Amino acid sequence: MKRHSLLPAAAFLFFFHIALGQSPDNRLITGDFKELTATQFITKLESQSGLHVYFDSSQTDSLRITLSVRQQSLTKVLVLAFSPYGFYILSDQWDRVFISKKPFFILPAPSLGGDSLLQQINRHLADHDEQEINSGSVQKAGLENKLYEIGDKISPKGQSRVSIAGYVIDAKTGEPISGASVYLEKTGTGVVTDQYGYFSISAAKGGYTLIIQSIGMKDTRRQLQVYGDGKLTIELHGEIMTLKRVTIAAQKLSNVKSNEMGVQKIDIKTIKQVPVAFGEGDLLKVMLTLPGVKSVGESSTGLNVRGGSADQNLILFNDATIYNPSHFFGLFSAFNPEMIKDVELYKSSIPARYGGRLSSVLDISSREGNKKNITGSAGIGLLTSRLELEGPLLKDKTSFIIGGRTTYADWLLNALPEQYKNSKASFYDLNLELSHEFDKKNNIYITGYLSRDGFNLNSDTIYHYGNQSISLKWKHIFSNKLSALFITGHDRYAYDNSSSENPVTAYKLSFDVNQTNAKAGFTYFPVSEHRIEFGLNNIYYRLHPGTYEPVGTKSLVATDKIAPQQAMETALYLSDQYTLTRVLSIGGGMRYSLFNYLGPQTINDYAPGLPRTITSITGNNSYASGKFIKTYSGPEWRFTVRLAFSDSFSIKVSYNTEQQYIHMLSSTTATAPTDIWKLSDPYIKPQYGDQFSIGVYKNLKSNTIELSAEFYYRDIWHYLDYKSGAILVMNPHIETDVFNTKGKAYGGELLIKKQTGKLNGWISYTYSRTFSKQDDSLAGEVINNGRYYPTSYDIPQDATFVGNYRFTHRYSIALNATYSTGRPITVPIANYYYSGSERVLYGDRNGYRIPDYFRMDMAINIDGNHKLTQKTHNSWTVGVYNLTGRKNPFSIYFLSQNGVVNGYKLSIFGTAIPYINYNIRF
Amino acid sequence: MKISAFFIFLLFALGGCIQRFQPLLNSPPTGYLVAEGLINSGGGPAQITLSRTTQLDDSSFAYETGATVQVEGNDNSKYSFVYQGSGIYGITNLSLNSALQYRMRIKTTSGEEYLSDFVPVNITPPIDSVSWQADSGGIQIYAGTHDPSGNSRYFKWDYLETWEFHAPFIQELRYDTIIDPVRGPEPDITALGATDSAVYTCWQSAPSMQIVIGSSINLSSDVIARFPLTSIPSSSQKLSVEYSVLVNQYALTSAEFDFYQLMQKNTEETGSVFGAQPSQLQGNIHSLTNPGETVIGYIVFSTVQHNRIFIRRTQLPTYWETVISGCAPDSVRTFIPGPGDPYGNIKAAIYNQLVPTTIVTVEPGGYLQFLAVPRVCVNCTLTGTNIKPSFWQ
Repeated sequence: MKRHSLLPAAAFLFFFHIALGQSPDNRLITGDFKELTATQFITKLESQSGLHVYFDSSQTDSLRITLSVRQQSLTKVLVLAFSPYGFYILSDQWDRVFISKKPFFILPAPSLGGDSLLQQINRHLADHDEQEINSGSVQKAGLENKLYEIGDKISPKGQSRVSIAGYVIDAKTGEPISGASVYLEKTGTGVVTDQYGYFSISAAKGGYTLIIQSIGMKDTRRQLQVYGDGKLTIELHGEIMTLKRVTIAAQKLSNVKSNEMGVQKIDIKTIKQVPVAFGEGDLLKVMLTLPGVKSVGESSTGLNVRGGSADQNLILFNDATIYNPSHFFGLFSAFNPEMIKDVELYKSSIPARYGGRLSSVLDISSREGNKKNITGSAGIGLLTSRLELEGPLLKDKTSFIIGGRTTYADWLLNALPEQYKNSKASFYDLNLELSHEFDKKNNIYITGYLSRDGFNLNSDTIYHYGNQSISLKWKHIFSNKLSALFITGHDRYAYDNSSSENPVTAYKLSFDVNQTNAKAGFTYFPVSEHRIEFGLNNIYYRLHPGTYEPVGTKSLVATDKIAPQQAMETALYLSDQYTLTRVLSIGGGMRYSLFNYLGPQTINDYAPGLPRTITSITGNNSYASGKFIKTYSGPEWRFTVRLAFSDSFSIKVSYNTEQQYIHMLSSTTATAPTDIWKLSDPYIKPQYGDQFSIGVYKNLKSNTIELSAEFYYRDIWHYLDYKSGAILVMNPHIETDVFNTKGKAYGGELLIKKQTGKLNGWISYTYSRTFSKQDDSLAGEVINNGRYYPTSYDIPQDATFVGNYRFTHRYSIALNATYSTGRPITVPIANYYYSGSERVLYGDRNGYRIPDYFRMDMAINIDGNHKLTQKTHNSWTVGVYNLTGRKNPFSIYFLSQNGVVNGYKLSIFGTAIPYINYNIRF
Repeated sequence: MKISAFFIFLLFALGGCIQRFQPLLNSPPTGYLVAEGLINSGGGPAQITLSRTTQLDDSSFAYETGATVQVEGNDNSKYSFVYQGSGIYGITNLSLNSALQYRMRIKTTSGEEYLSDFVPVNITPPIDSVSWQADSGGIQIYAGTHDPSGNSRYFKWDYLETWEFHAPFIQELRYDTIIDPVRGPEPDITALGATDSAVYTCWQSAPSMQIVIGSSINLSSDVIARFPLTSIPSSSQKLSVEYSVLVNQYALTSAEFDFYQLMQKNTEETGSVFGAQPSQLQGNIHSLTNPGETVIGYIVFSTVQHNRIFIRRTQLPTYWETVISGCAPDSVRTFIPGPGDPYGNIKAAIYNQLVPTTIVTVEPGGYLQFLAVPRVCVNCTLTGTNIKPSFWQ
């Protein structure tokens, strides 16, 4: 489509003052045009005349124009060129020139009753729509051609700029569409819809064509006559898979033109395409294919983003903080793929509304229920099954969506050797979301999430862990310029383990972290050039760092309870995104965070200047309930600059600082379900980090291919590392077992992404390093002589290919391949004998690397037939994980067994793993 | 951590695997002093072992010989240990005052001097019981103790297992030579006459090789009930006739316990998915000559408590079968004479270094079909001793 395209039926609307034939031309055209397409020809005319020509390129595509003119007006030239083909030419008083196959329709001068004009127009349109429907074209054309009047025609004088706001929703289900780009064709001003499908755009009064694009949906447009502030709901239709046509990628705004950098958005369709072990769409595993995102191994869902640790990622699921995003030893992520709409990862320019973690924000949105019909889906795999049901409670107003997932892995466990046969492992998760639209200005959402894992070893030690969260959101639109989102909710992560094998020592150990959230966020669009966000976030934390208690009457276990910890984290933020020109846009934000560690609590005193150990405790101080024990505060800065040199090329720079007040303590490499979280206190300082990044973005082939290169440098202060033999569980004085480090990370990321077409996917390459060094004079122990050493997630090279090829509407094949450097480990340097056995002595931390990693996976998706009349639609996924069967090492380790040292290599997946999944939609 | 063991088994089911792997690691010459001293301070002999760390590809014991080893009390009392060979320095009787603190001073022949920190003398409560329990897979040995004073919250155990076993086969035959009328001298088999009872009944011993430590710190009273020491699979030769285990118990301080626990984590519990990362091991011995030099070891003074139990085959489930590696059915061969070479079977048995045990049948023509086994299956002295231990019941 051409940018100046305009259907003739809409064109006449502006003409009620025109004098036909009046030449607006002030610059005459001279030139010899040979074999030009209409578009090329018109472009040349436009540049010579300085006027805009509106035409529908689909009508003129086939024409080749050859013409010689000397000192002719634009209208005349157009008449010469196009009249022989049966086109009509028209120019109006605003110097706009129109070309159309249909005759122009001149309206009488507007009558005093303002409505009559609109009525006439609509009547005319209705006629046209009918014709079009009769001739077999889609009804949507009607909506596209219909003129929408925005605002009150008798709008206040002097108000030159007005705003248009509204929702973009899926016409079929009524679900909001986030990330859709909405822009005014004339000015190029554009915005992207938020998570709720909401947009607000400002413009001068006048006539516009509003273009709406979203991935997987058909592009559409609305003809607007803007008189004043007003609202508009836009329904998008799903893309019918006519693969011959290449859709312009909707996200062209969000890559080259968006102001953010280091942001990746993946929708559930893409997530489901990527083959993973056991075949269930897994968003965390898909995140790992993006540049700059790594994990220490296949059984770990802990993400390491740009050289950050796993606890430095804020994982939000519908605004609820998820502390443990994994199921089943990390083989599954904790999110039901049927419930997810999309996921957005921010790794460099983190918006000011987010905070509290250093490395990234992973914002996962679940779907909203279908507001029109009851529908659902179900999936069956080898290890898990899932079900999802959604529908309206009140048509077009209230909807629900509920989803659940469970596992039946016991058959797998029964295959284990005899002594483990009584083992059990299971998990489930449940999601519920209710949304209700009171009116165009008020929406509420209630979401609940529950995940639970349990496993035991031959009825000995039983482990449980789970996340729980509930939230209430109210989205309120004060005016087109100001909207707000109020959230309150409660999130909890808890685990326990217990053993009753020996009645005398039967125990239960439990841990939990709770947070109560209250957030108010405002988005304000004073004019289109500015997007201002401000708000207040408040989190009240309450942790039970450990309770160890007896189980049964025979147990001699003494109840031990570490005093609960509580704190309040408050943050105020303000940011402004200012588009100065088409080229230059800058963003600045400040988030001021304040952390108060609260009583009741008893804090140890340590002898000044001595390493903190139990022996250097000199006394303690008790604080009453609610007393501020320690306060940390400080500004966090967010800056971005975007230089868009053209629609397809831009450079962006960003600088961020972040603070983190809650820390995960783990002495294991992989994120374990028994890791604990700890709040900052008088001894545990907040983590602080900054990041400078620069990126270059280029789009090719009508924005269907995105190229990007990003480079970053980060500093990380006060990340916690552990002293040798640190005790983390049931330790009331963690400060004696940890020390501060100083970290640095840098790297470059390249990404080539093709989002549409028969072949789609991406290729990413990352070079990144991350180092840490001990930076604590009170540690009492020196790690690696105080020098920088690579962290256990320092993986310098990583290359990933993710591809999907659609043969027909029903068959597609997906392939991914990934290569990365092995992660660092600490290895022995010497042997010795002690306590009856040969043993090894370990050398410097992380002085060696495990062998490199390579994996290739493949899946074939087979859809049932696409007949619309069918009640259910089913599909199959058949795939192989680790196609080459390569035994990728997860770890290398050394054990003293029967008196001698043996070295071992552990691979999580030692063979190719085939899988099959059946999905049904109804 | 059991979670990791569980995970490993789960992985097998998922196609995961653990392979033996010896990476080529850069192993610098270290030669750090290793002083293993869990010293019996309650009277009777006491010893300490001194050695040096070796390079990774070298599994030999690098003994430290010729050193001067002395225990020093904070009352300036001194007790000298003498070298007894194999890196061991001992004293015939060491009885320390539990009201005092002691340390160890070591001077090597190369002039380096090492000194441990002062530590108290731990008084070990008696072992309440050493018990065992049989389940489908074998037996589990437990120790139990308690300290009414509540002073000893941390314990270490080591043990010496001894078991009686029998050679699985009795040698009734021996090789001989006959003169075949046609072929000349050929190998033959003949009856042994008297079987050798001296190679039938033997005893074998093995010390504990893992670190076994436990604590009652989480309990309301200082009781260790049924602490698992070791397990023996039902097919083990240890359970074939009679088994005995001598358990030694030592009380530890909290810091001493931490040292052993860290060594255990570093060398016996690393590696799996949720295993801890290895960390530096800090003992209580320091070099005076080169401060900061790595020294491995923690000098502990503790009284020791013993307990021995016996388990007879008759106490165990009758269906348990002993599998002696090397004498399992697949290594026992019947040699049948071939038609072309009537002596080939005997030659083959000799070639395979097998011992003839018994005649199965006599074939027409007087040729023998017999059973032959590796020598270790008829002579128990190759793996054990036929001298009955003094404590054996």
